[in-house]
Amino acid sequence: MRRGLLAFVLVAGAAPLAGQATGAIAGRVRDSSGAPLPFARVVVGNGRQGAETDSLGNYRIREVQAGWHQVTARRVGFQAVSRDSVLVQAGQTTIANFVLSSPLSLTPIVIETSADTLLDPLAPADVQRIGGDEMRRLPVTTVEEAVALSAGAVGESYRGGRVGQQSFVLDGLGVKNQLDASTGGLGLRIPPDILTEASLVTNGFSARYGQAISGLINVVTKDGGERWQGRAAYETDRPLWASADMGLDRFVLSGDGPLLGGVRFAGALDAEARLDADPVNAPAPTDPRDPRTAVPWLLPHNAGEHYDGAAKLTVPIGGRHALRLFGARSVERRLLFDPAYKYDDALAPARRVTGTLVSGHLQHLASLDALHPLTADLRVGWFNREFMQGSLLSQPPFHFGAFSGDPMYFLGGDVALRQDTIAAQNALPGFVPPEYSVRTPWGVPAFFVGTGSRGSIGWNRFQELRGQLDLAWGLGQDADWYFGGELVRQRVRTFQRVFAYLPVGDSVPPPSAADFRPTSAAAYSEWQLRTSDLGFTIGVRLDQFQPRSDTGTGLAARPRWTFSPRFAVSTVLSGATVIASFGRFAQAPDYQYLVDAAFDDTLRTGRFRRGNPDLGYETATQFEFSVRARPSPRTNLRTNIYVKRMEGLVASVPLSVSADSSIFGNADYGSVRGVEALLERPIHGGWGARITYALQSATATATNAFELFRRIRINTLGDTVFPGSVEFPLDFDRRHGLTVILQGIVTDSVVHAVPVLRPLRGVETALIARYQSGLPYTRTNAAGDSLIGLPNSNRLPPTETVDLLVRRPLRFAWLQGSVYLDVRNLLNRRNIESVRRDTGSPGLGPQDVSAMAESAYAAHPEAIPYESLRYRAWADLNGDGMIAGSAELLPLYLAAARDFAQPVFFFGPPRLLRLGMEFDF
Amino acid sequence: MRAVALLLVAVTACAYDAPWTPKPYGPDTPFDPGSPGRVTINVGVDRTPAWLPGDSALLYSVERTGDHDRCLGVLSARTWTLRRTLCHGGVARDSIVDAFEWPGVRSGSLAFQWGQWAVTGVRPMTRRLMVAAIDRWDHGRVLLEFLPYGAGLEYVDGVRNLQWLSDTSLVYVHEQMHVYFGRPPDPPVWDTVFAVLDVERIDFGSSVPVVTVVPGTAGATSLAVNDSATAIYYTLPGDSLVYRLPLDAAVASIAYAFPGGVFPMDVQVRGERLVAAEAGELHLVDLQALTDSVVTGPGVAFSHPALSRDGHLIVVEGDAGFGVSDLWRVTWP
Repeated sequence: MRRGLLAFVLVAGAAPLAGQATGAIAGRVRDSSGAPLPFARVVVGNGRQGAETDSLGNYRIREVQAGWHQVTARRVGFQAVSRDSVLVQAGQTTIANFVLSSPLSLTPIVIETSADTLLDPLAPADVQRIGGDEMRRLPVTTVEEAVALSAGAVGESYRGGRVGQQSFVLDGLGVKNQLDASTGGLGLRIPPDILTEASLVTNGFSARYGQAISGLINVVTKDGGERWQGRAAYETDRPLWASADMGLDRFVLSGDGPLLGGVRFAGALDAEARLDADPVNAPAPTDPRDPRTAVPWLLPHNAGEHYDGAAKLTVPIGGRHALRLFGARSVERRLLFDPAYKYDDALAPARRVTGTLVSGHLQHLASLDALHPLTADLRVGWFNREFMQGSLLSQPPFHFGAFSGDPMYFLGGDVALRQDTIAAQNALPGFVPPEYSVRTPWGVPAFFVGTGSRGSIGWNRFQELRGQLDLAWGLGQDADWYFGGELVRQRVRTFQRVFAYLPVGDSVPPPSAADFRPTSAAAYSEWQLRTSDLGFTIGVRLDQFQPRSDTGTGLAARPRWTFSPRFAVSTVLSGATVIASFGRFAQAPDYQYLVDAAFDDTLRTGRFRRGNPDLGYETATQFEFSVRARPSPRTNLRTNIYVKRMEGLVASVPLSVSADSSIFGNADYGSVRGVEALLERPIHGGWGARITYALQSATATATNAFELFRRIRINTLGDTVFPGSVEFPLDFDRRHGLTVILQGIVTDSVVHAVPVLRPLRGVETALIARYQSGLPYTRTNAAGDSLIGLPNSNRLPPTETVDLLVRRPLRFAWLQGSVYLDVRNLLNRRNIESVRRDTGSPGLGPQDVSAMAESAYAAHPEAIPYESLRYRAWADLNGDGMIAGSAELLPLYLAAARDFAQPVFFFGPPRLLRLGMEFDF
Repeated sequence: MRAVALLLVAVTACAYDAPWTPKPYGPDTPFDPGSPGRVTINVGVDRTPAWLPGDSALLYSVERTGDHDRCLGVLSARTWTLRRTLCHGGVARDSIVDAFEWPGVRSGSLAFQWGQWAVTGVRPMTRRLMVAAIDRWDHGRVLLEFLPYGAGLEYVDGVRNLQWLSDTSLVYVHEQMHVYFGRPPDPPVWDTVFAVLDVERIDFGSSVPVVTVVPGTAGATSLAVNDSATAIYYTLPGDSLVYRLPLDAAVASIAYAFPGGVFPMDVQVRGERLVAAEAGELHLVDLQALTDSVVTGPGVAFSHPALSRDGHLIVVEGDAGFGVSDLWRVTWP
């Protein structure tokens, strides 16, 4: 067995770099007697890529686009042999062995292909992948949901890393929201229908990639095929009963095929709208006068819609070059439920995020007979992300379901776009101070507002032009050299104004704006070497970034450099592949920390936070030991043990005793230790399974750069300390995570074995069960003092969900398709996702609610006369037409406080269903 | 296949409304549906009602109890609730008390007097005659501004009974407020006396408003404009006659003569119906039949009636003697 695997090592050659859009095909060509066939030519597809076998009959074709390919082996004097469906996965080597027969021989043709990327000892990265087709078979909708099924993932936090510490690699091109990835997301969603695969790489990713310290999300889009095909799908929950009707509509249209001149096209559109874009499984209010009592499953002013489109052109240029042009655009528009605007939502906040990516990829392929094949990939990408949040000039009308198509115009949006900080010194036109709403069931002037907005307008735009050159040079069967670099030019523009209905002064902070053009560059070199039973990957990467920002703070922005070595050694022991790896990773900080920021939430941050243009890299160093094995021919098992140390994480650094005088700095550090196990059985005989488990402990000195620094000030001995000197559990430390994916299909063989299942022939079922232990949090009072135990020493309750997808094939006229039911949180578990830091439970306690009510009553004890819209007859106990005094007014204030303090967003989503139908054409 | 068809049919192409919208939680009937019946129970002062076109609502000056600003309230004539208040600034207390009074409405335009008082002041710092579009009432034009004058700045002029004649002209009663500190033999307290100067017309079609005194109206105690805005009605102190003066004429005629000893004030005229306040009572006069019905308030003195355009409803100030008036409603079948 060991010898066989070592032979595999020899024929496979080096595995391509993890985190890219290409893989490799390797193997051996023999004649029917088993003798190796030198000088046989093996080509991919139409012959633009290929290789010749060496004297031992081995061949290797590098930089093959991920996806399904036809591979043909030829040699003069032998019958050519083709295999239609060879799957190449990004970053992996697929093995395809051929046996060629003489045309005069009567011996039948034998084609032997196999792909065992699992045991490939020269693929040191931890790659958990999901194919585009597989995504359709699972109850997941987006790439993010698919990646979140990976071991070590907690939402978009990977191996304890903060949100935003990952990088997105699209067809080999890095794409990142460098401005506010830690709080704002990428802003670009790739329609799953244009994907070949998506994968999460949590360590050992190639030196080719930087800008990440927790993981790579690697997405490979498909090239257009040689014949036209497509898919149309529609999903909805609108025909369902009331509590299941979230007003969801989703349209998907995709297609690919050849155009003129060998050009091929692939494109996809994905549009979704939902009346409640962020449904929560919060308990219904207890007061029957609360209108949510009748419809507890929907929140008002919480609709959302997004439109995602992507298209790709593949243009062959001669025999050895190809040009790929890719464009994607995402638009997300959200109405944001704000409890204060529950009854007067005309000026409640809304958000619009758009992302645009245009990229070109010119690929140079090595000649088929090159002794040292050189492939080169030149990629150029332009990425633009724009964010705006504030109050709308007018509420968008719904046209179809929750689709509005409204572009969203914001109050003060023109000033924000102009970054006019001079004009913004005055109160901005259109803004009026919010006044207490009269439209509440409680009437009293408290908590709920209307007729005026919160007075904030925030805008930012991040643009990036990236050039990336990657070269792969085959140095023979025992070595490959990958090298290249990138140049990035960015532009960051921000604007923020709060309390815009008031002029600047007193308690109103000045508007903040920034406009600067950072640059960054990187170079890398990586070697993959093979000896008889060992494989080595040695990489180095040099990163540099220069913010070139001038925020007027007097702090100088210096160019920063960092050096990242990466190393992996692998071998095969007792039938298992054993890999030890070490890597240092670095990313430039979010640029939002370089600029000043103003807030309207004094409980959270203070009114103003000083930017620091002199921030340096955040880094991580990770050691990992991995074992991969096949306990049986149809199962595989992977285990990883890792230790990661993170340094230089952005934190709030105090300048004096005032929270408002703190500044961002590279002050945090932390460590993550974990064990991951993944047991997989691909679908065979009608069923498949995948089980992942992660045990993880993640600690750091602080968890959020926007937190008040003074919150963490007690060390494990109970002594008061400077906040940066003691580590506490990270916000993303789930500790235990278990995910079970079961898939089944009623195949003909199943029907043959169990005839009673005949009506279910072709039905596919996929079930995802997840259990995750609770997140840590800190109990503090309003002053930031720890109430019980140490910071983050409390944990939320565990969360459990079960998702299900059932699909039944369908034929409609000449179209083949299916209908399906997608259910999330099948058991309708009420998962608690957060709690109040002061109570340790969702929502305030009765005493706090009473205190809120009494405080509000003290502020407005005035009587409410009959003619007032605030008059509530049921509260006028003596019927004198006047609600006056605490006996009549206080119950109203108490009811209003209970309503306002409902812990709506403390809970996860409820059971969500959607019916879908799709047709292939 | 049938399932697909059913799905398609079930998914209606119509759009959604919001998941739920707040109900009108407030009252939808007058507090006292009788006639006369009390309409407002505000702790503060409710004054100077004026009907909006279409008789769907009234504007009146309503005192906000939080900061004592007097706002313009929009009182629905259907539910008899205060639908909206137009105020200068929020309810947060500041050093100025703003008083919006004497609203007059014509189609989409609004005229009112805006007085500003220091919180501790005994007389206004300023009083202004404002005109504005109703939907942008807070972006109005100052037609006249009255500032304190006199040796001790004890006088401030103002306007009352604002009425529209056209899109660019108004008539009003020009009043003079005299605030003085009593000297012996008067009690040593601040006292305020109003004196009426005359009826004036202001035309503001050009950049500079032009004020014209209506002859023969010196000391007028009230003012009304007829439905077609072609004539004014006014009363004079110590006079039982109601005068009618066509705007294109120089001589007034007698519209109605009350019996001797009845000195009407605050007249309002709609069609052939005239209402006037006199000694706290309302006089409902049919100008065609020349009949006069008297309505007495139940323990309140009526003043400043506003007669609806259809002539069947009167909203009037009612003061129980505490100087804090509310609005009352009187039906006139």
